[in-house]
Amino acid sequence: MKYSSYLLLFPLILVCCGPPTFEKDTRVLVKGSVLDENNNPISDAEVNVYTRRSTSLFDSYGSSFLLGKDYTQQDGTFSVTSLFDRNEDFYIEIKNGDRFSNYIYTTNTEEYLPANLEFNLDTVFLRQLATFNYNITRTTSTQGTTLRFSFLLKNTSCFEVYDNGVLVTLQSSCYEDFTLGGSLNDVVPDLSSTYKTLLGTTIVFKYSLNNEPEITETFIIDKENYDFNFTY
Amino acid sequence: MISILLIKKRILFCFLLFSIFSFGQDFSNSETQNNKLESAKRQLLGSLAIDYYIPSTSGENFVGNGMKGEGGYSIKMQLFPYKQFFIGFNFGNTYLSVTDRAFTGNYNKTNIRNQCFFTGYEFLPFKLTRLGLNIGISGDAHYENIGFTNNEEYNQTDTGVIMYYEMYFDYEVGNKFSIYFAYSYRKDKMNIMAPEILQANFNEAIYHNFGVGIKFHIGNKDVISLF
Repeated sequence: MKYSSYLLLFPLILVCCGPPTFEKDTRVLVKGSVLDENNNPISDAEVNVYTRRSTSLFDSYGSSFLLGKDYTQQDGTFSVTSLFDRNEDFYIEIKNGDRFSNYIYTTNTEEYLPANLEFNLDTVFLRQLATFNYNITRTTSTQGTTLRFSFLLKNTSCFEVYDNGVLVTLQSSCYEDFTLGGSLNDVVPDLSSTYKTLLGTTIVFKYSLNNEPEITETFIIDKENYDFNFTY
Repeated sequence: MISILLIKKRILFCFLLFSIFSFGQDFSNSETQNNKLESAKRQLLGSLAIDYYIPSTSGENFVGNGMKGEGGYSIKMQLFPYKQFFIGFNFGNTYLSVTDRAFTGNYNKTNIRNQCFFTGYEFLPFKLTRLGLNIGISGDAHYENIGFTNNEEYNQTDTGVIMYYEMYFDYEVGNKFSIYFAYSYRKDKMNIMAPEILQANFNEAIYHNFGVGIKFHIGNKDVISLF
C-alpha cells in the first residue's frame, strides 16, 4: 500500500516539475508608443512580455518567463512579436533604465485572447525620475531630544490591471503617494538615505521635535539629483 | 482544404512523373540489351539510409529572418515497387538557433521533429552511380521551441505540414553499400496563428538542405518481381 502510494505520486511529480509549456501555434503582437510627460517620444525603451508560472509544487510565488522583447523606435513606437501563455498572470513591462518610471500592463489570459491577437497599449507615458537624497543631522547636544519625521513622495511605477481589455481602476495603481519616515533619538541621532521619485513632484516633509506640534514643509523636486539637508 | 489540394497536386505530380518515365521507357527500344541487363543487375528491393545535413534557412519568414540552421539528420527507408520507381518514409530532426527574436518570439533554439512519406524515380546514369529525384507527399513537422529565462527552461511548440523536393547522387562503394550527397528544397506550411500584420511571416518556413549520408542496399528485385 505504501509503495503504491509512492507510485501514484511519481507521475504527479513529473507533471508538476517539467518546464512550463506555452500556447501552441500562437504568436501575439504587443504594440503602442511611449512618450514622456512632455509628449516627447522615448526611444530605446525596453518592452518585455512576461508570464508568471510556478515551477514546482512548492513554488507559490512563481517565476517570470520572458515571452517577447523589443525596444521602442526613434518615434517611440514599438511592436513586439511574442509567444503567448494562457495564464492568470500575463504582463507587459515597459522601462527605460533608471531615468524613467516603469509601466506594467497585467491581465488574466486564461480565458482572454485579444482581438486579432494584438495587445494594443496605445500611448504609454513614462515619467522622468529624480534621485532624492535626504540627510538629517543632529546638532543639539541636549540629551533626550527626539525627532519624528515623515516624507510623502510619489511612487515610480504605474501598474494597470486589465480584465478582458478593460482597465480595472480599483486594482490599478499609478504613481501613488507613499510615506517613509522614522524617529531619531540619542541612540540613532542622524540619518541619511536615497529614494527614487518623480521629477517635478512635490514632497511633503513633516516633523515633530520632542513631541511638539507637527510642522509641515513642502518642496519641489526640480533637479535629477535633489539633496535635502535638515538639522535639529 | 489547403492540405487536400496540396496532396492532390502532389499525386498529380507523381502521376505525371510516372507517365513520363513509363513513356520514356516504352520508346527506349534503341537502348541496348546490355544496358537493360545492367539495370536489371543493379535493381534493388529497397534501401536504408542515414544522412547528416546542413539546413540553410531562407525566405521572408520567421525562420529565414530569425533563425540559423545548425544541422540535422534523417533516416530514410526506400522501397522499389516497380523498376526504379520508389516510395519511402523518412524521419529525423532539424536543429536551428534563433538569431533575431524580433521575428520569432523569445526563445533560443528550435528542434524540429520531421517525418514524411515520399516517392520518386532513380536513374542509373553511369556504372556505380545512382541519381534520384523525389518529392515529399505527406509529412508533418513538430517544432519544439526552447527558451531560457534566468536559466529556467520553457517550451512552446509549433506545427506544420512538410513539402519537399529532393535530388540525390549515390556512389556505390560496395555491393550493398553506397555514399550519397543530397540537396532538398523544403517548405513547411505552418499552422501558426498570428496577428494579421505578422501572419505572412509565420505562414511558411523554407530550407535548402545539403546532406551527405550512407545507404545500405536491400535485395536485388523490385517488389512486383518478387511475386
